[in-house]
Amino acid sequence: MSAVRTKQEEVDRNFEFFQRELPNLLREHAGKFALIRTCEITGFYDTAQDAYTAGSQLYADGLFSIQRITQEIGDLGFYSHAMHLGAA
Amino acid sequence: MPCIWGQHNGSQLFCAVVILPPSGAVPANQTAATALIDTGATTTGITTALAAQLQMQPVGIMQIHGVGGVQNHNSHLFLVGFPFAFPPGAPLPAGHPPPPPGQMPIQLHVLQKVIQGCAFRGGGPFQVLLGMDVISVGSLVVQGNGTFSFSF
Repeated sequence: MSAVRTKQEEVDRNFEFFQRELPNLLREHAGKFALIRTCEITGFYDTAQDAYTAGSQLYADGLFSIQRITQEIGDLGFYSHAMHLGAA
Repeated sequence: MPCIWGQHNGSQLFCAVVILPPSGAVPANQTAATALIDTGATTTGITTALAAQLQMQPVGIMQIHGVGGVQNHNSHLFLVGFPFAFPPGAPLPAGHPPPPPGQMPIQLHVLQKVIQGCAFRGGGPFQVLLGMDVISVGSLVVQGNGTFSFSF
């Protein structure tokens, strides 16, 4: 495996970590945006933009994730119910 | 307050948009995309092809309802801009670049809210699906005479 992490690898691993931690996070940080790097939460922010600004300043390599702390599942309207979306 | 308007076909609303990075910087190769305005969508989405074209990197994963159940999709941060054509004969603002020969001068009004939207495989007649996270920022009016407007 390459020692160089790609952005996709980073967000995929961080999401697995986030999913495991979500029940705990919901108790104190519901609705916030978590800034995550290498499967570690480094901050909570009120908006995705705030988290993105902090991540860009802290990590010049751009390897971080932003996850909203919520159990809500998004819906793409017509496409969610009538079309095969295809995971991306 | 900027206001876009267009015509609808009685079943769907389409408009032109420009997807911009969260910084708001307009890339030199930026082109307009076609968007479906969908009040049944909670979130905005862009096709994976458009994300690749704009060289957008994922910032996370979003879970989205799909036909076969919940699916994981890359999420991206972006701004949504709406291009307006200047009225014919209207003077361009100072510093506005002249349009290419044969094209109308365009100005861009950007919705001042960073959107965390998902990427999905397209294939339809549009590259962007505008959900309620965008629509609820402004006022959408659909009229029986075949027109619609969105002000924000």
